[in-house]
Amino acid sequence: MTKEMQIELKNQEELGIKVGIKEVIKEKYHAAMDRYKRQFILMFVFFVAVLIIVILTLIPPFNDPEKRYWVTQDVLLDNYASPSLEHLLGTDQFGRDHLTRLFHAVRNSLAFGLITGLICTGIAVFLGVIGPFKGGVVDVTASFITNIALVFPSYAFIILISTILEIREWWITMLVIALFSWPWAARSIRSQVLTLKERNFIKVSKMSSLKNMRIAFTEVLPNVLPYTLLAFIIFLGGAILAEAGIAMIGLGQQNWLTLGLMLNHAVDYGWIFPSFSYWLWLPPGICLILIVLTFFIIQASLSKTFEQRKV
Amino acid sequence: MTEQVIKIEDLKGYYRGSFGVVHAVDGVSLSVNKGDIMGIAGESGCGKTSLAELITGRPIQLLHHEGGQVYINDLSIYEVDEEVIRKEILCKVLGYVPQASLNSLNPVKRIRAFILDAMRERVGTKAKNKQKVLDRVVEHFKKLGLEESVIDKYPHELSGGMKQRVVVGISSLWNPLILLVDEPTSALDVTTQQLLIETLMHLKKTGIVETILFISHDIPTLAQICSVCIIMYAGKIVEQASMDDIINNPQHPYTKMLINSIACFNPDGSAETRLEGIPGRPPDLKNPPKGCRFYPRCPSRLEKCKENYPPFFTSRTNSNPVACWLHEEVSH
Amino acid sequence: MENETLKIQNLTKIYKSGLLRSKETIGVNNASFTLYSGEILSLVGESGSGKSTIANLILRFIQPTEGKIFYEGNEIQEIPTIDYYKNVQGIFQDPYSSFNYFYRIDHMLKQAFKYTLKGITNRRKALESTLSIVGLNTEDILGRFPHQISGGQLQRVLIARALLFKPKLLIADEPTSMIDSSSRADILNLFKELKEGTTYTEGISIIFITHDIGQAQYISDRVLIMKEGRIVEEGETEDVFLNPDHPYTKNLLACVPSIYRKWEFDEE
Repeated sequence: MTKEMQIELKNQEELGIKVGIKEVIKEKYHAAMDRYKRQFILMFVFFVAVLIIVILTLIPPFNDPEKRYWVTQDVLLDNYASPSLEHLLGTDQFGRDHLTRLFHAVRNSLAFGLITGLICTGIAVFLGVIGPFKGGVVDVTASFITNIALVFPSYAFIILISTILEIREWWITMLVIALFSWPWAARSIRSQVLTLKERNFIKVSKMSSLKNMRIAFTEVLPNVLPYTLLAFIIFLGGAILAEAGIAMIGLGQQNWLTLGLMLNHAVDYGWIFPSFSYWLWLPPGICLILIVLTFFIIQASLSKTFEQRKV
Repeated sequence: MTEQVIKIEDLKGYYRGSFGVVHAVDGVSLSVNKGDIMGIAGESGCGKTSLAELITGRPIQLLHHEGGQVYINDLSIYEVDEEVIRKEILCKVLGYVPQASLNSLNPVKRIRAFILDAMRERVGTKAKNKQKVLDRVVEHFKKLGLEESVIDKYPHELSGGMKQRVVVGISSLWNPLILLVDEPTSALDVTTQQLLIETLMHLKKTGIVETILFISHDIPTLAQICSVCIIMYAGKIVEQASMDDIINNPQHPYTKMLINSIACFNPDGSAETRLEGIPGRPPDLKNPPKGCRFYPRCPSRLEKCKENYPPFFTSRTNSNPVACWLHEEVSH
Repeated sequence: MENETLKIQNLTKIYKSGLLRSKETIGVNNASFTLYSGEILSLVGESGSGKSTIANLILRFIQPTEGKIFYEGNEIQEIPTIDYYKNVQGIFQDPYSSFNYFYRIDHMLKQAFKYTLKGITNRRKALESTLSIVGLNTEDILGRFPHQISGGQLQRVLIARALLFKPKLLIADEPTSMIDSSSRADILNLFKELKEGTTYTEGISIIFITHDIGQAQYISDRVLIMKEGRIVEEGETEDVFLNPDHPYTKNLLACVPSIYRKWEFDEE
């Protein structure tokens, strides 16, 4: 073969330009952007709105949700002021500005969802990855725990716990929700890890004398990351909704002002009946629906984006 | 004059999708005589399967017919309705066994259900007709050396070779003139491979099918049954010759190198000769080169190969059509 | 006779599956053979004959049910992991699944230096020399993702990675079956060169696992024919392929399509 031919062969074999991780992300971003433009705009608007709300809760006059504008303890009903320019969403039975409280509730609900989601994802990833790689007793135990948690009547248990424990601490609600929502994700991550474990690159890593756990977390885990992200978003939305459900029937925590607690007040303090103060119970309900819906749409569009990935 | 059952004129088929346009079949002309067993060989990605899909007239998704004609029994299948193709051509004239079709059997249904499903067009839903078809299938399967009980089995109860024979049996049920089989043997072990090839030969000998188009990347397998063979490279036919000529007297540089790169079992001696691979890799069909597609890898290329794609010339030594400028002088 | 590199004694592997592990599948059934240094031994068999199981057993991915494997006189389970994989390396059938698509190709090559090859200081040079043995350019490979290069090249990168360890034994489990014939020949030739020794490595003994008898005949010094987990015939390549003893081997060889002969089909 002549020198000239070799050079030409090399040119012909031009194996695609060298790309960095930045370019890959960019490419993925553009591909996703093309297809799911509306969803991405929605995502953007949602995050901007959340950011604004969070910032607002930190600055006056919105920084204190307990600030009372009227203190007339004798006649409670006097304090249900309808929406006006001064109080955009009116005031509640204690004369507190309802918009301020709504901002705090949205922030706290999201924070609650975020922490619970992280705990759930952590448990799911840990049990899903460690089982197949440790094998033996560990695997059997991990599967057993997952299966038990999967069929456990969690709602009944939550009611039971709430009635037995007289405390209404935020971390109890969080723990109870976290403990019962992870199993499905652990199961799917486990099955994905089991498939990945059969791929040859695991064997290659073993031949480089890598330890099992190192293989699990540096080789296998990155490959289930997209799925983990999806699971996290589902957990996030789910935890917000679950907390709202538990709080609304009065079994939830009382320390954090969340959307659920607001809805609970709607029942307990008679916002719906007899006072008919729609400005108090309608906005938290709408906020809850919007938040959960947005997370669902984000999750759905992300999962379609990841599905396109060619492996 | 022998009858031509398939005639292909300048056929073009491109894949179109988000990845761009892939010129998978790019100007293929070919005619198949009645009674031939023709092999279509080439490496992966050379357009063998795309060609087969285009011959059936209803190519798979993303593959689009972009020009040229396919005549099956003088009927231009790109000028008639899909309805006609489905009712008159497929099964009756052209039996097609797609690639990896042995995996197309539904694992939760018996072979019987699969057959009835495939035959719904012809059979309808009447119980009497169904029984007629099944009787015919049993009779047909017996000819192929399959037992009657096969139709009441589930796919997982059959071995790979049996499954493949069932698929071939179903495709040849209505005695098509032409049987088009795409890589039927590549998933099978050598022993079952031989059984399948015997089945195909049996179909031909008993006159159930007259012409067979056999697509494979495995030239030793083709050598066992084919009378003529075409070699494809990067979406084009580079050489058409009798099977013996392809093996013993290849004319196109690509065919020469391809034959030389096969590690073939020699039952009467040792494999002493050193094999030579072909350097480089096939061109990117999204952006095929202007001239001869083998030009960058060709050891005996000429200056004009770079710019002009060679038409078919008659080979100097054995008068076979070869698409190579090296054979140009002879044709004048 | 030369040194025994690998000795396998009465190796049996039974897979248990199903409810309460009640269903047994025999992977390898009482197989014994010896590999001498500096030879290419082909394990030939049809699918399900247990050839890949033997590869997995030798590479310590699974444990044998019974029997022992000795590497240079020591039982392999007793050799420390790092020492063992310094000497014994493997290549697998599917080059695409041998790479982690999350990372660049570099990741897998660098992995090799992490524990076993800690001592090598000039890593770039070591990589360059092994990549050049397999006929690849460093610039073409490093920094790319696995999907950007072809199957044949990926398989060569894997061979280059194995060579980094300067192994004495290479287990090649159907390394060419997913590769086009035009690049297959080069890889077969590469194995022959590795056996002879290259600038970077000394002669390597190779266990070449294949279902393709043509390739086995081309490459190997000795051949083992396997059927349903058992070794049915063993011997020098020419002996086995020209004068097979066992009826299974005879039948198998008769079925192999070859360009040198045509099958006789029964006339009816």
